[in-house]
Amino acid sequence: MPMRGFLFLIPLFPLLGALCGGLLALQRKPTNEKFAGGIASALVAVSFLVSLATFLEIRGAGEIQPLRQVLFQWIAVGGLVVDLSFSFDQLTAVMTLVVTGVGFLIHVYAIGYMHGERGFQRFFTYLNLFIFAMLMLVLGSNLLVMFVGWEGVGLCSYLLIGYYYEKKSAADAGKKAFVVNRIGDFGFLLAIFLTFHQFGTLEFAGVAQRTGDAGPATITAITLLLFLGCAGKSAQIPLYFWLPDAMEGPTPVSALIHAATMVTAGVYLVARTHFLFDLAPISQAVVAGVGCLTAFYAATIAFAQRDLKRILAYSTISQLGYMFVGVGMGAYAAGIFHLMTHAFFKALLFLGAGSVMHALQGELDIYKMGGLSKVMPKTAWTFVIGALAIAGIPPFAGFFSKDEILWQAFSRHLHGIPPAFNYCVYGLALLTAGMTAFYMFRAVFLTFFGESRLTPELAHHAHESGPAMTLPLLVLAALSMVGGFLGIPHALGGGARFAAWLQLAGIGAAEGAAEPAGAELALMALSVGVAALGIFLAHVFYRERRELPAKFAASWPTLHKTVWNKYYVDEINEALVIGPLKSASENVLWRFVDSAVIDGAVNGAGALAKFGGRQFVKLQTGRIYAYALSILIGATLLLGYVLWPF
Amino acid sequence: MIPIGFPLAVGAILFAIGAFGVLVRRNAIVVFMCIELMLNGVNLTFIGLSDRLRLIDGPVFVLFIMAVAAAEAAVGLAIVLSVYRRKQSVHLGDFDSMKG
Amino acid sequence: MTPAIVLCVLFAAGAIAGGANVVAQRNPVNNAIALLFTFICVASLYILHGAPMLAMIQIIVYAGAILILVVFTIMLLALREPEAALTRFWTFPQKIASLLACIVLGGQLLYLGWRAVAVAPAADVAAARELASPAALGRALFGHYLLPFEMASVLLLAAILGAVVLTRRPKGAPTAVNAPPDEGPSTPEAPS
Repeated sequence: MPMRGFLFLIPLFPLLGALCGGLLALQRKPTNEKFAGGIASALVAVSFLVSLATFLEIRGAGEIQPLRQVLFQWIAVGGLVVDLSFSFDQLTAVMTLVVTGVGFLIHVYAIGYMHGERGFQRFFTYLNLFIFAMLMLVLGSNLLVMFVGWEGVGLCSYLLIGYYYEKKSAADAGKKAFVVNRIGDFGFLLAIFLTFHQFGTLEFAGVAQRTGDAGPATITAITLLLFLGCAGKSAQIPLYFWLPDAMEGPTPVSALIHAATMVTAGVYLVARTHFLFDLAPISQAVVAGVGCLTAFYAATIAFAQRDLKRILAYSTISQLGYMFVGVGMGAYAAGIFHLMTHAFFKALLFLGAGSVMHALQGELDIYKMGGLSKVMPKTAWTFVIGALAIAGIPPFAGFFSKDEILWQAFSRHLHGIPPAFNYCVYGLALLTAGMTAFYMFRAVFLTFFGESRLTPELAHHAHESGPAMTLPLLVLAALSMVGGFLGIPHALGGGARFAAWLQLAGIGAAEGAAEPAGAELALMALSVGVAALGIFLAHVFYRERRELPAKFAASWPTLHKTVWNKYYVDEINEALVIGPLKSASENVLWRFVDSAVIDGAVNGAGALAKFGGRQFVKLQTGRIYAYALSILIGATLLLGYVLWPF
Repeated sequence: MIPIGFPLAVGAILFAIGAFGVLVRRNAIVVFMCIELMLNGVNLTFIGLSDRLRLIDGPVFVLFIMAVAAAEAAVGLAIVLSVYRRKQSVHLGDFDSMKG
Repeated sequence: MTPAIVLCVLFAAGAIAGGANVVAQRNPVNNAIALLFTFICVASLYILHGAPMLAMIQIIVYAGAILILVVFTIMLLALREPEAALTRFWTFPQKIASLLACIVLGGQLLYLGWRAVAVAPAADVAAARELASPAALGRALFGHYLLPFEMASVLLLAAILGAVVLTRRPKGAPTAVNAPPDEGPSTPEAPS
């Protein structure tokens, strides 16, 4: 049945959930948790089913125009005409299924995780609102609707990070996330303006048709500005530092927003505007370069972290860097594929961490854990599966997607960019893969294996989580195991169906097959080897010879301290940016502009009126002579005016 | 045959003299008298012109002006009397309580 | 040089001289007498211009009523000029300003009159000398100008009432201007 007319249902259900939930959150009665959480999850599930139906409809159809539904004409001002319209093509299908599918699992998980929290209804309201905004983002058929969703997810991120709003660190983290996002949004907005100025339309299809109108400089400018927005939303250098702080939010939030969906919006944006990026190789190089640097940089920080969620946060930043390497090199399918598999295993890892937190009543320091696999086996083994997936061990999902990216980085040449760039990116990415394996398994070993370092009362209370929490873990673990099979590359005899699927939407030419298949296999083996080496080293450092990490830290104390303090980025930021800004606001803007200029102007207007009035009062002398004379002079002047023509 | 300029000129001069008197004199009653002088100048103008143009409207208007002048005299002098009762003076320089 | 013109010039000169005296005299009684002289000259000019009835009315109303009122007021208030501290005129700059203003105004009016003359139609010599006869005035007043005529009577009524109200004595105030404050009515003393 034609799903074209029903596209609006996909974001509608979560929106309804948010609205009703918001109203319900205002009432005084204690929340019926099963009801609130159940309804919210069910609405997301319905969205998932509608997306699935739409996906099935376009699946068999081959290469077709995207389904498009125009709700109404939203803006018609001068030359700018923007509709509120959705479009659904193969890329959108992937995104909506991931968002609603993983979102649904996390909603179910949160019913168990948030049990007993005071703001239960509020939480699910915000979650539904987030799903709505994210769906608007991916379904939008023009830049403006997408921007609405973009801002919406930023708002929900702020609301959810600061969910424990009474805690100062949480409130600060929410603000930080929002403000840093705004910097990125500034770039996005400039790109929108430039796009409209150049192409006269904001519709993706429209711009794609008219790319010939613009010169390379303009397109490079637009794409670089778009990437600035991506850097903010997807936590790349230099706008990444909000993401670790965002771990203040409840773990389901970290899983959904800061791992699986919101932060991937930037990758989606690049893929969606691929027709622009394809024409600007400089931007592509920038994207891939920044992504690769970020991946490496974040991995180094993850080495020294003790907080389990922080490790996962830096790992997210790192994996996002990988995705940008993928889409930056023009391999949009590879980037989106990694987006999808990453959603599976990163959500799994976060939910597992949440399960651990739940069992240990909020403890997150991995040096205070250990041996938990005996107490919570489901959590432990699903976590291991997630770790294997992220490390890139076959046949888990991460292997296929990460490897595809590495292969494309190596082999796909950008127009005008020397091959040395490819090799640098590849080398750094490969190194990062090894590092990823190392720090993930460091976390695994310290948390779940070895002898327990738990305090006695925590050890007493530690237990496996309830089914509401473990079921999603199991589902996600299953997806992490089989999800990769969607994109088995030709070299291994698969049909590369994922890339072919996206190609139907016109995304990503099948260019990178220049090298013979042997090279690809060799690189694959190399990456698996590096990953295995990482795991082995982690095993050595944290299981066998436990004294090694301490010796390492002792011999290179400065390096350790710097990495441990995240390269002091936050402190530098505070000194260079925030401090001067605050001082300028207070001294210049407040004291001068607000008090002196604006208040002065307002008071001055009043004073001027008073002054003017006083001057006029001087006319009223009370002396009759003066009045009579002025009447006479007035009459004279009037007569003169009348007589003038004569 | 009287040239038409005559009554007009005399009327204008009387009016100007009366205006000068209103501005210059400080005795309220004398000022009032100068006002009557101005009105006479106007009346003369009316009569003169209507004589020339053979219109009856001039004299009619003059009649009304005289009626109004009479009323004005009554009220104006009553005011002068009341003010004198308060301030014991008709000197215009003393009346500045409307100042400001 | 017809007799009419001669008389006209004579009475015009008289009117202007009288007017100048109204402004210039120090003793207010002298001012009143000068004003009377001006009224008579102007009335004569009315007669010369074919409005004898109005001349009569001018004498009766202006000279016979208004001027009497003025003289009454002067006597009532026992005004006397000059007291040494008071000067007759305002300060010198004020005099100059007023003079200039009045000269300009007068000039404008003269000019206006002169231009009006140019557009006035030629005089009809053969027409009857007397324009504003009582019959003609009556016809106009009870015909075209009936409403203003009635309004004038209302106006006069209002003026009478106003004059009475304004001069009502508050209780306990002295009855005569120069009498010492005392209870009850008392006869006004003659001004000393």
